[in-house]
Amino acid sequence: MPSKVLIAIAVACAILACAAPASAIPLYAQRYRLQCEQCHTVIPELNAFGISFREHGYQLPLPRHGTTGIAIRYQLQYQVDPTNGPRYTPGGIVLSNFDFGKISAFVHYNLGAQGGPAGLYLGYLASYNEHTETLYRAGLFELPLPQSPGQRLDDLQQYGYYGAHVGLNDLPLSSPRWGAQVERTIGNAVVDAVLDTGEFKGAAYGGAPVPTGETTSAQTPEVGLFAHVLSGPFVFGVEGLDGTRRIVLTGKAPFDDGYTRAGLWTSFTAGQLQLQSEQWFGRDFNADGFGTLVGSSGGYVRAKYYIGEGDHAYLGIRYDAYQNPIITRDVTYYGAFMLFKHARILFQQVQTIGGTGSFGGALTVAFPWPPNL
Amino acid sequence: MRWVALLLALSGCTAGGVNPAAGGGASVTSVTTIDVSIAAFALESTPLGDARGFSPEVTNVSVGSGVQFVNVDNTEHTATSIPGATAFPAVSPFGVSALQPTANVGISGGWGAGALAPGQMSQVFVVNQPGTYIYGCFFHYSGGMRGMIVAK
Repeated sequence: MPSKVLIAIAVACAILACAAPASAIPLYAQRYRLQCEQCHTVIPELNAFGISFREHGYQLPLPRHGTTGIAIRYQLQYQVDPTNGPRYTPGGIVLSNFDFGKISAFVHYNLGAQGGPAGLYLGYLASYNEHTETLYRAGLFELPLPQSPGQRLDDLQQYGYYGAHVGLNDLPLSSPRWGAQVERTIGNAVVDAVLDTGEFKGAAYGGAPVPTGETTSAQTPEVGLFAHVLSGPFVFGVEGLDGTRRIVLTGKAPFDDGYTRAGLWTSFTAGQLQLQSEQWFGRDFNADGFGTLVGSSGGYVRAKYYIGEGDHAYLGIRYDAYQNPIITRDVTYYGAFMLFKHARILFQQVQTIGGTGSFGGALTVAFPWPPNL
Repeated sequence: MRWVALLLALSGCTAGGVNPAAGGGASVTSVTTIDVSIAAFALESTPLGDARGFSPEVTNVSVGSGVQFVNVDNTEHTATSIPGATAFPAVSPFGVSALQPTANVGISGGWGAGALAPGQMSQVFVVNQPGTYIYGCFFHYSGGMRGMIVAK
């Protein structure tokens, strides 16, 4: 095991014992007079209540207080780049939420960093019908994957297949989609249907955009179907996407790439231990403009152990792999804890299989700090 | 439980892809490295037109030496030959086969590094005949990502 991993684990173990409770998106904490740890384990990760709150359109049948509608999450990221050396990346997001009767408007706006563009990352209207147990969402939203691919990552490493491009099809699972989503709870099962026609384009945390001579867009609406069922300590899920990309290369006639993505996932929870795995398979029928069928696949296996009351610290290990058709495999050793109620410390060691390792970390701070919350 | 075990076993599996091998077994007198990055290496003039993404854009080498590409970018690239070309084609000539490294490493034939992940090195291509050899990136050819090797 790399020495940096041992150092990281030793540092983590020394500090985990005093991990503080988590901060929430402060505007929700203020609005409903909730303690922050009501919804969070380690920010920005949600606990079961937080997930339920989100799936009910960010509304609770409780009296409302305060007028704050904006929160800021700042993150200073440190990463040792295998080719370019150590790098500090400051970044920030603005989160906003306002309710209009039964409709809740949510915005996640990325602030630019390192010359990169600022831009809307998520922005949608949500409404929950308690009689039919159905959530309606329209706008720019993340696909309902078992792990949030961009908004609530528990480390700095891309999950499994989430970021994979296939040939010239540059639409990964992790890109938020413009469209509509309906999520219905039926007994122990949750079913999501998604219809989208566009996606987020931009850098999440900096990196000046460069002209690549390629533009892509949805030629037909992308259709997605996601379902999972809870069975005791287990969750079993299936996922599917189908769409067509219009790909335009400078100086070349546009062409269309029809594609499908299919996935399976499961998780198991026993006490403080959580195991989760997900596997995707993809097919692109014209990813190069010459009619070539390209297969792709990938996934992850993750073990996380939460520490202490309230789960405000964790240690994890994850194996990620995908092929598109180049194979990428890595193992990430990571951990995080709440430094104080509004700040998270995250550290990780990524070991690329057959390649080099890199160490990274991040300090994440949420603002404002409402008194007594 | 069987389903869980099966899915855990399947997860992270990658079926039948290409594992691009680094290095090469060919015997060469020296190896010239060409760095690959569309972000770092801006558009430059070459005798065949504007090109970007490789450093140097025009690589002068001797017959008997070797050439190796190193992806110093944070995204995937290829370095793929355009056999028989005497000028940069106006549009991308590459199919998805460019994502796989070629068995051939002689620079006078059709050759390619395959998709290079960030930080990855290609196999060593052997400069076996004098001439001018044109190549480019499958993903970003339209953005001007191309270069040339001049062998004497």
